[in-house]
Order: sequence, then structure tokens, then C-alpha cells
Amino acid sequence: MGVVGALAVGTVGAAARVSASAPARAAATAFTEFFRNTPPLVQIYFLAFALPKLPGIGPHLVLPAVVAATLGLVLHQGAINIEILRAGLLAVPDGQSEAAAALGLSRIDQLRYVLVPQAVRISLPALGNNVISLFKNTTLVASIGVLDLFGEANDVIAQILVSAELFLTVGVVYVVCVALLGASFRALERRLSLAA
Amino acid sequence: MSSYLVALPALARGLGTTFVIALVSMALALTFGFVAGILRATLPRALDLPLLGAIEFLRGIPLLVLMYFLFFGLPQFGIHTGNNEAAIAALALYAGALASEIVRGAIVSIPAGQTEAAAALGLSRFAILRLVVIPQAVRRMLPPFVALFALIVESSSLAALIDVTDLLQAARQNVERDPNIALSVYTTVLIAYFLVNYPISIASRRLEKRLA
Repeated sequence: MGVVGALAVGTVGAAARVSASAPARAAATAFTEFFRNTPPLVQIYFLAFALPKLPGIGPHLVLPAVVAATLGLVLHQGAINIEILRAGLLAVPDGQSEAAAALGLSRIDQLRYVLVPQAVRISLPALGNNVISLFKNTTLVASIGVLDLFGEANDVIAQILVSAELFLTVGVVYVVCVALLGASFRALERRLSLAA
Repeated sequence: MSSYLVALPALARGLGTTFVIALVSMALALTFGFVAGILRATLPRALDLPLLGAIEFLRGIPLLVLMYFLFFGLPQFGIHTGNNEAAIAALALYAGALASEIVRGAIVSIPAGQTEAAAALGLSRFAILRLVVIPQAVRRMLPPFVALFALIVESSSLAALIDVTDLLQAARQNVERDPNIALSVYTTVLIAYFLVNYPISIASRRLEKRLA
């Protein structure tokens, strides 16, 4: 869910950052800079504990812990995706969008059929790294009391007080998952690469 | 509002702790990164493998798990780590693994012609590395190192979870005392982290453009 959300944020944000509308560009830039430059853990705390204190609408914004944590990760990792995809879009040669415009495609269609497919290919290694970092950051979810793999270990420790082996086990599970994710992204890159 | 004002000095002290932890971790990570990175760029493949394994492990493990292992796990082997030490050690190991990749990448990106020319001039392998390759590689390391520092500042907030009184932990303690100041305190903390990290990430981008 976090990955899909972060990709959606990234796509919309990157489109806004290269759009012709100055306010859209400014808003997307501000969003990216703010969420990229603040710690995801602090964002999660803000969403979970500070948001409900907003005067007026606050009491309606009491988010379940898992929602606050997911949202925090989506915002942070999404902001990074915006930067990655924007760089990818800018790396597509100008001739591509000019040719697409000459064929009569609208700006949206240019993005959809011509620019984004190429930008995704360029951005794939960085996007893969970001998915991996999102995966590792899910450990932060445990800190506000949502059980994931890591939270489970914490709970078991509380019961039986054997921690070193448990943390090592959890660490190894993560390392293996990260290695698998990394390998699948490299395979995907190879499949999508044009150079024979 | 008044208890928000009371909380401010504690937040400022927390920010100071965040800085100290980030700076010490960065210094250790750079040391570790240079040693491991240079070794990785120069060692033959067979000797390089264990180092590669260790670095990949450190890069693959979530920082929080590493921190918890050092803080809660090590005492089981008779090694007692304080909160600050465990937080700094975890950050230094994690960032050091990333730094070693930066160092290695920069060293191997220097064209082979440089090494060959230096060898033709009769320089020893060590002298080639010290006088020719590393001075050129350091330029390429600067932007990613600055970005790494921003990542360390950001990641140091995890130390709050092992009870280090950094900026985030100072906020948590004060909000615990008076839940009504949660909004103002956490907003302040977000802005404080932003004010620290935004200039750093701008500096990294500027450097990248200038050195490109």
C-alpha cells in the first residue's frame, strides 16, 4: 500500500513540477522540499499525535496508528519519488516532446504515451532504491504501536526477554527481503532496457 | 501556550543533542567509509567479498533494527552500551556502509589513464592512490557526502526510540506532560528539522552542479 501510494504521489507531483502552470509547480516544489527534508518518524508523530489537536477539525482527524504511519511513509517516500521522476522526465530529450507535439498530442497525452514511459525506464534504478528504503522504513511503524514484523519481535521480547537472537533474526529477514527486492529490480531493469 | 514556551528550552537542548549525535556519527562514518571504500576499490576480488557482504548487510538491515540490536541485544553478550553510544554506533555503521560505497564509486570513476600515467612516471601503487587518484575522487565524493549528512540528521530522530533525549524525544516528553501542546510542539520540531536539512540539501545540489 505504501509503495502504491508513494508512486501515485510521485507521479502526480512530478507531472505538477514540469507542468506549465506556475502555481502547480510552486506547490509541488514546496511539498517535495518539505517532506524530503524532514524525518519520516517526525512526520508520523505529527500525523498521529499533533493532527488531532488542530482547532476545529482536529477531533475528526484522529487517525488509527496504522493509517498515520502509512500516510507518513507515503508522504516522505512520495516526495522522494517526485524528485526521481522529475529528474527522469527532464532526462528525456526535448525532441521527444516536440515530435509528440508535432503529431498533435495534447500535453497530457504527450506525458502519458511518450514522456512517462521513457522517464520510468530512466528512473527505475532510483525508484527501486526508494521502494527498498520504504520497505526498511516500515520498521518505524512499530514505534507508534502498529505491529509489523519488527513490532512482533518487540512484543516477544517483552514476554521472554531474549533479544539479541530475535533482533538478529529480524535483521536477517529484512536483509534477505532487501536482497530479493534489489535482485528483482535489477531483473526488471534488464528486461526494460533497450540496449541489447 | 505557556507550557509551550516552557518546552522551548528543552527542545533547543534536544536540537543540540541531535547535532552532536549527527556530527559524531558523520565523523565516524567518514572514517569507516574511507577505510572500507579504499580497501574495496583496491583489494582483489576474493579478499573483497567478506567486506562486500558486511557492507551489504549493514545497508540492508533497517537502521532501527540495528539500533535496537546494539542497545537491547548486546548487553546479552556482556557488552553494555549506553543510549547515546548505541545510537551513534548504529548511525555510524549504517552511514559508514553508505559512505564506503560513495568512496569506492568515486575512486573507480577516475579514468584508468590517470593510474597508468602515474605508474609510467614511476609512482608506487600507494603514491598513485594518495597523490593522483584520491585527490580527484574526493571532489566527486563531496556532494553525496553532504547529502549523507542530511540523511544522518534525519535518521538520528530514531535515537528517540531508545530514549536518547534528542529533538524528537524532547518533544515527546513535553507532549506527554501536556498533550494540549502537541500541535505547536510537533510543528516546531518539523520546522526545526526542515531548517537544518533544507540548507544542507541545497548545498549538496549546488556542489553537484559546480563540480559536474
